[in-house]
Amino acid sequence: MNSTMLVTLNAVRKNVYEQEIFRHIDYSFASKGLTWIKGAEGQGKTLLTNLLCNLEAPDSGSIDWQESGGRNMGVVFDTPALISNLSIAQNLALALDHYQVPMNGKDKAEYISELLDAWRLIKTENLRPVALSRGQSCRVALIRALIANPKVLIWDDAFECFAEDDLHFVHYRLQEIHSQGMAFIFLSRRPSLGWDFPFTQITLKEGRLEV
Amino acid sequence: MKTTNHILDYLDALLRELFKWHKNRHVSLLVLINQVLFTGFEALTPILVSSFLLGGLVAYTGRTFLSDLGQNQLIYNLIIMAVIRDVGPLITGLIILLRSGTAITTELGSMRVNREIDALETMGISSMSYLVVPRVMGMVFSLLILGAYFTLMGLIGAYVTFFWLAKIPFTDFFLRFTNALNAADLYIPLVKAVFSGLLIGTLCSFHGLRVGRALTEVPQRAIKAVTQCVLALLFLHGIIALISFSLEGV
Repeated sequence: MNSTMLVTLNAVRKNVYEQEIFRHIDYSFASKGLTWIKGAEGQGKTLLTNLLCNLEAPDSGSIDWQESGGRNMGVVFDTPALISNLSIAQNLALALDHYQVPMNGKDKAEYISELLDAWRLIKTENLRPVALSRGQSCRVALIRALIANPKVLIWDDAFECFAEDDLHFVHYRLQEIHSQGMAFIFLSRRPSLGWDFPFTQITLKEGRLEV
Repeated sequence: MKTTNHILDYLDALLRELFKWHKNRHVSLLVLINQVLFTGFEALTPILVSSFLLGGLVAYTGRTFLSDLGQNQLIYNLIIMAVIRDVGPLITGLIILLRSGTAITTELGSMRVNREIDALETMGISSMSYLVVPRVMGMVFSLLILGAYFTLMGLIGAYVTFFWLAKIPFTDFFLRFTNALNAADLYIPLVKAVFSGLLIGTLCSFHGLRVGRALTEVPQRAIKAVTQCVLALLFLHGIIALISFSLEGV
């Protein structure tokens, strides 16, 4: 696999409940690039996210990640998917602990508090996810996905949960992160992305990716 | 048959994780403590009430019935069989199944529907280590603790009944009771508690994790979990009773 490619889909086919969703998908995602996969409802965006995240396997074909890139990903699903019986701070601490970011308890608490402040989530540390709005929950999900500085952020239904003012803020934060070299794969049904940096747009339609 | 194979594979994976839990950084102490508090502490009231009533009922019925047969001395053996060895552990298991077992299935099922488990998996956190192992361990610890409380309260219920019926002094009751006890009466309830906890935890978490994407699957899986657990608990307790009786030469 070309070293500038992060992940390659080779002749991927996938049926769900005997209905053919992906007929034949061949595509390589560039490392450090931004790919926007645009698709209407029911075209398989969530299924593609699941395949990329290794939550489901293709019926045939393969998904090949660049070496050591397979697990080095941050993922935001179409729902925030925060652990509901943990506080916001505990949700983020779980991710930090898992990625073994070396920090003592006090530093960790301060770091989490700084991150929440930077994403306009002041004084939410001790709240449970149910107490947050959808937009706030999505921002926490983004922080969790980005907390260990992964090689790639995969985001299903990207930006759908944000109101207009939040959208500008999140664009600004993500463009800042992207400029430091992180690859983004966004899957969305939005008509336009409103992104200042160059990006690749592909369309998911009738079981194929159209460049 | 297919489901049985899936459950056995799941049990195999769970036992492997259980045996190395102390080495596994994903086994959450917080989840374990919460499980013990929820299962072991908050279930105390129904356990104490049912054990007190069972102890009292066995003492009352047994005393009346055995007096008619002239076998009064067997009343303590009857209390031991009912409260400590056979009925007590089964009732404890059933109460915990209805209360905490169903909670495990519905909680894990809801987490599956809300994609919380997918989120853990994509972070590389095993749902078996992080979610299931602490719940099963909590279930086993809680059943051991609750079994002890059940025995104590059942004996209090039996003594209160004896005192009410015949004004038997506590020292008399205690001496006759301890004379009727043997070693098996102490370890068999422990064995039953450990296996019941393992069984309830395994089946309930298995069904919780088998929920797909639809919320309607959560109650369906909870019903399956309870039905299978009730049958399996009866079977398990029967097998342990048979083995213990054959070992004791009864």
